[in-house]
Amino acid sequence: MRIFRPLLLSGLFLAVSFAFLGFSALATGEESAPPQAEEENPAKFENEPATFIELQDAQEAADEEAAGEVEEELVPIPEKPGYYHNPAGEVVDDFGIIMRLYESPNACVRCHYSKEQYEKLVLRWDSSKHSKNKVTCIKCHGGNDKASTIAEAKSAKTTDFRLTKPSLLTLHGEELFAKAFDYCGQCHGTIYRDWKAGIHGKRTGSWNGEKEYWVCIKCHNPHNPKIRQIKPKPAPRRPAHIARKGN
Amino acid sequence: MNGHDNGQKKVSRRGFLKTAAAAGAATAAAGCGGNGEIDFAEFFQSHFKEMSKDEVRSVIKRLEDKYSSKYGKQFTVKATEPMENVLFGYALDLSRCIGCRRCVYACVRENNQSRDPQIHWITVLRFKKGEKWMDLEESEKYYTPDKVPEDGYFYMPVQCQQCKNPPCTKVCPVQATWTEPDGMIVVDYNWCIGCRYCMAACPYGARRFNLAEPGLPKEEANPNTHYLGNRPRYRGVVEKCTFCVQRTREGKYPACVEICPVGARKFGNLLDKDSEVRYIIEHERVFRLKEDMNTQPKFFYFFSI
Repeated sequence: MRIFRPLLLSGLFLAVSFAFLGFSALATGEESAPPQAEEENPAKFENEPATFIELQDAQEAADEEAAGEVEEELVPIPEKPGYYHNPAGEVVDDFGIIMRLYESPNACVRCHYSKEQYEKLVLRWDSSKHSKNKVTCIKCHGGNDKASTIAEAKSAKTTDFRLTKPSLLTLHGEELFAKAFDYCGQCHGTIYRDWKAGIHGKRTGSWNGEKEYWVCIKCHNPHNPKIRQIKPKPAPRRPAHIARKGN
Repeated sequence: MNGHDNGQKKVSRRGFLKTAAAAGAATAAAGCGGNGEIDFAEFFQSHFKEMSKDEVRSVIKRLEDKYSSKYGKQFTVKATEPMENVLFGYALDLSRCIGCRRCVYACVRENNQSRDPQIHWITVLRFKKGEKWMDLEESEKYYTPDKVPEDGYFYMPVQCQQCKNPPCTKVCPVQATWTEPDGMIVVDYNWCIGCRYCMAACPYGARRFNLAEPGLPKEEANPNTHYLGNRPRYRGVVEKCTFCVQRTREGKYPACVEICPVGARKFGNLLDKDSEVRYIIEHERVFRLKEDMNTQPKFFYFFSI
């Protein structure tokens, strides 16, 4: 099919007269050697974490910093010296630990306690849907939450398992994180199916070759898997700014 | 006529031609002088589809030199051919999208859009949940909450839908925009005359026009470019999403898929039975935007929950 050449037709006259001018206007001047091009990865913004869970954590840390240290107001309970009511009306002890969490099924906290663990793991879990649905420590971490001594907790094999693959309980660290889908998939079957098919979750790399399948914990915190809110990027500018530029 | 001499000088035919030639030369000089905006070879460049391999090579060489000296880094302008048996398709999970606009800015960086005046290829629309179903008239484009996702809203990113029956390419008077064999609709920025018929024809508002000289800072320019995709544009040409032609023709995912933090964006080959997009179309309740326009987009929206 013949293609209409608007530039040629309309500009032929201009071009002919242009030829008279010679090519002095074409001289481009300096030819400095430009530096080598570097690969840009669009999956990463500058100074911004790449995975969604890091993004949410960063947002949470920023929010906490903005809010500053919040001292909970504790009201002493007259009939129980050493114990207090926190603003939510729950009984807490001297250290501010909610007493309810000391009891089964969360009795693990009694021995496995540090301030950071308590805030980042236990309290987070306590507000999650996992907590409401009775997915307690041992459901994923194993052990025995009814034990009274450390030896008992280690030796006892609890039968209160929903895991169909208890062998996973021996995994730790990176090994465990890489297998997160095997863990979560045992309860979240439909999501697991969708994830394997590529509907749920994220894949990066190559659409026709090597892909990286992002596992559950790259977006969800297992102690509270619900997606947290993050700050959006700025809204587009209204078109008026183009008219003002007047180029 | 002769009696009507109200101070106007009579112009002879020869005189007129002389003046016109001088004016033309002046215009040409102004156009070419400046910062080397248009040179002789560029002016006589053919349509991309009519160029021979050698011509394409020389054009690319010229563009690379020009961009490299303009932006101070080594530019590569590719003309990668479409792959065999590939038809690109896109799926977007509206249940997962949180409206964080990271795709918008990843696209800007990858595709060398103008920063000032601002050009975005992706528009994220915010809808109120419930009552009316997907009324585009009531969507909000300039939402600015502190945090997303907000309660009671859902978000819908809109970009070029790469229609199978595209109204935009039909109206182009110079065929500067066309559908590639892999389904991508592309623009030859050197051929576009800036009439903006395509923008009027597109029911999705997916095309953008460079009203002013594109403002692309040197340090932010992405030097890995494609002739039909993300090479720096000129003033007065139309540009649009190409599914990152420079990335996808080399097997990579588009930039918006790579960046999406929640994995709402899915991309793949519609002709491949095992691709994610095919699985989604076969197993989810997908819909296409403004289906009644018979544009037959290759961009599928769905709600996974």
